[in-house]
Amino acid sequence: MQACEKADTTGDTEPCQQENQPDEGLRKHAKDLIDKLYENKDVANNFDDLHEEFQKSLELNWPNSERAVPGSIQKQTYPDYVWKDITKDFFQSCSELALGELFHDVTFGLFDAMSAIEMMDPKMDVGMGFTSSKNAIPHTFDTALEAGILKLVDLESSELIGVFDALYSCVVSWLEGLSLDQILFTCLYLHNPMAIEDKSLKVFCIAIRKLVTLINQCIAQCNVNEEEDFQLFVSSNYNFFPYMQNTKIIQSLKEAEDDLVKKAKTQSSPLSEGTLAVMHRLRFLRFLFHSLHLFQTKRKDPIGEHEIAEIQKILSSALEVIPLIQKTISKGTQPEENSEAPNPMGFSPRVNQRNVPPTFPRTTKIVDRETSLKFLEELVHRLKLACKVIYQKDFHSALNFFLDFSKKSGQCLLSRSILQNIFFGENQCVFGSIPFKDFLRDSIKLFIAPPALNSRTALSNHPSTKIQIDNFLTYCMSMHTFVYFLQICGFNRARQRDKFARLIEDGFVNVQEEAARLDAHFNTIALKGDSYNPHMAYFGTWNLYHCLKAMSLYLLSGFELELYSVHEYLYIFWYLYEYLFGFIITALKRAESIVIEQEQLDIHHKSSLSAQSKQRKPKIKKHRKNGIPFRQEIFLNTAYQNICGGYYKAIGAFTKEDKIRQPLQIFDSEYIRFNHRFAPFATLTSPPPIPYHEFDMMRKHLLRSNANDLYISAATHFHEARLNLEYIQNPDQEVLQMIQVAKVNYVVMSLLAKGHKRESKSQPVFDYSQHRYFPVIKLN
Amino acid sequence: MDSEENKENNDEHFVNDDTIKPPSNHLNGVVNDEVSYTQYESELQMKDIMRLIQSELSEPYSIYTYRYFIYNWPKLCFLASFKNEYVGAIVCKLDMHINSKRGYIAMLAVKKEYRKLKIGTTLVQKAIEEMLADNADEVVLETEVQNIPALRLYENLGFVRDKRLFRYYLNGVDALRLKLWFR
Repeated sequence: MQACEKADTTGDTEPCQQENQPDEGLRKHAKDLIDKLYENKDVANNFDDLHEEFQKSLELNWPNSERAVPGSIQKQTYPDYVWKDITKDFFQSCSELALGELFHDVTFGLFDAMSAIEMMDPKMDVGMGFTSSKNAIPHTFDTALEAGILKLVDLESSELIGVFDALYSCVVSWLEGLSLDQILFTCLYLHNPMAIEDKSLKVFCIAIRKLVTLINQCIAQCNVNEEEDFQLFVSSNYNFFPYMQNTKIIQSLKEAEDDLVKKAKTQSSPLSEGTLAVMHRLRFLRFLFHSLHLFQTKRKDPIGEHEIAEIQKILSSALEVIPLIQKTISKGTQPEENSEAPNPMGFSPRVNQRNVPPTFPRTTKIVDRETSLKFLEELVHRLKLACKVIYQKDFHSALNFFLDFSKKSGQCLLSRSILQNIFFGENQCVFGSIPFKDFLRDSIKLFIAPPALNSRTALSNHPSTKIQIDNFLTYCMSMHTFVYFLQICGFNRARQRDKFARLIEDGFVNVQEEAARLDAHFNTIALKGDSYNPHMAYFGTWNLYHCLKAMSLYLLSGFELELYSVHEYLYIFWYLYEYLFGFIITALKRAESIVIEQEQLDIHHKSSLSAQSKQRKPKIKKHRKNGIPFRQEIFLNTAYQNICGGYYKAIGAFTKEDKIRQPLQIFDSEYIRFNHRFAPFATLTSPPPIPYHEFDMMRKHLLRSNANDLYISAATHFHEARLNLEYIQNPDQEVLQMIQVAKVNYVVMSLLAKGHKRESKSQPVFDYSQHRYFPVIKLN
Repeated sequence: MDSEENKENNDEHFVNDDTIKPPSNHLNGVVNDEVSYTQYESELQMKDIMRLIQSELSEPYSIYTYRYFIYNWPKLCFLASFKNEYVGAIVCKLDMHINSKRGYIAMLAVKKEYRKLKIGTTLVQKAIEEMLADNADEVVLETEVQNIPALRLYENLGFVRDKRLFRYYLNGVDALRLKLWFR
């Protein structure tokens, strides 16, 4: 056993328990010096002086140590340790310890020790994780070159395809959360792309290096990533590549492609196909790179339909190349069996081993080539979808778009970030041009048409109105509630639930107070005015709708994340069925009737104006693009309500027939559980939280019915839900899945009502494979 | 997630479903009544505890992890033994987390041949009773999404799934945080 001198000195002397101990003084002195360093802005100039001072202090504090050479004020040359065998001393010291006694520094306790790894244990020590060539020193760019295993020029098409496809696999694995150092930067070509002579390979590698920076920037700016999503930081410094501008890279990729096309024309059949396959890989990278570059640069300026159309065009071109790459995967060199490298040439899996943080090794399995291309294809589709956010002109439709996008792209951080990027722009202006406050004002107007926002009304002309509304919107902005709602949709699905809870507790609770105050204020003004039209809860309803939406999303996400035990379904579905969806429908209907009424008043007003001025009658506004406002959404929410009603009744019947496993009584309290499950709603005033005893009462009432009636009632609910869903025009995939679930559950409930499998006491299975929130009920 | 919780990502719960069927008190010649339960006594038991828990775990632990829990909360470590052999163990802690006194079940293991005898449930029960005696407000633990037997055991005792932790384990698998509230 060996230890370096310094460790030996500090270890043996129980440093923190002795006074006037050299390293105690040394530590303090070092700290003082560091403090000095931080205080001093001109660090670079003073560093040498401070270093010198520290050297002197080593002599003073540690006169007998080999560490400081008396009289020397030269800078230390490293390494500065002297090895000494301490095996005997070590075991002798150990023998003096009592059973279970531990020796440690007072500042380093058992908690810190938990992060320690046991060296040589393959489950803990990253360095042990390699199965083959354990003792070989990993190749670096230079050693691989010397060994003649890294070609920089005259690469065959098959070799280029192999390297490119492997790099795509690495990029995808990185986007899926693996470490950049352990995956992408094991490619030696990326370490020194400027040294590569082959034009295609060189520009491809440079573009990949820049792509990493581009993606990193995009993700870091949007701030919707979590540690489990993505490894933003790398220990090696390959993350930074200053040599070429993005536009130059796009141009160089294009030139390399053109060269290859020319070359292919001079070649005969099998050869030219290889050359074109290489070219397609360069071309896809160019399109991907170009689109991300545009997303990134457009962030600084207002982004409109024209800019988005340009990006969409590039993305469409990228999609056209994908099948050509997929078809030619086999033309490239393939990874060797039992090798950690994703390609025979160009990769050195352990090269960054020393840059990996000393933590337990995480999985580093690189996705295969087919999977990575599938991912890239879907990524491009997702980016194209994200572009469509440009057509969402108010908060209500933008929120629906974001929610839908999250369902479709939940696990892809890059596309989630791009969506945030397009919508919010650099200065938190919508599409980089509309201040969010104005966006909210217009959205409220469109959602519920408050008279205070209608220039025709007396109320809107009241001197205090504008200020009051402005204050309210400023308050909404300062609470971040509405901005945050959209941002939450950018996080991964598992993280959203907690964030929704916080949005309700900290955001909506406060905004609703302000909205109520504003409505009350306008009501007072309205009542004082000539027309005795009371001011309704316009702002309150608008806020309430969004709050209810957040509440329902919070509860529903529990199904998707598999958080509820079956015995809990009863109160969750009860809450959704009896309250939340009912409230949402009421809020939407109220908004709908107000908007329609307002439109009719506007028409009336315009026609009376034109009659006065004897102008031609203005054209009566045709129906809105989507018919009556909110109609589709009302159908959808009615379907949700019915479907939840179906489960509520079904589980009521199952409970009655002892088919639901209940937890043991020793520690469980349903009352406490209920309160925790609905805790985020507890501080709201509108809607008021529903207490446990209400649930208990309703359940008693429910269970008084006989099981047969409950099954029939459940079947009716599922049937109604299907009818509601079938009213929806242009149903998307999700609606079609819900129809399927409602159909099957209707049949199962009808069978149960007829006595099928009623005697069985085993718990039914709730199968979520059709829909993330609503399970198909299966009988055992 | 705070840093402390991060460090604790090495919980394991090796048990088997002993809740679906009514408890048997007799299996493979092991009679339930002959299984005895004791609190942790000394470092001499450490090897056995480690062997029991390590035998099937996916997450690595260093000996310091065991010591952190057991030295700090020896009363929350219980061992089940049958005929001079340790067949099950539970390792926990109890400390303040934000505003509540939180118990944490770090590890639970029952030897394969001794499963379905409610040994796991009994160990958990004993640890929780000890935590309650020390005024715990809640008990939490993490387990893999696919660990159905562990989920059954804990849910049967009233635990609910409070959170899903995406890619929590080193092998990339999601975890569920289970919670039992007392107030």
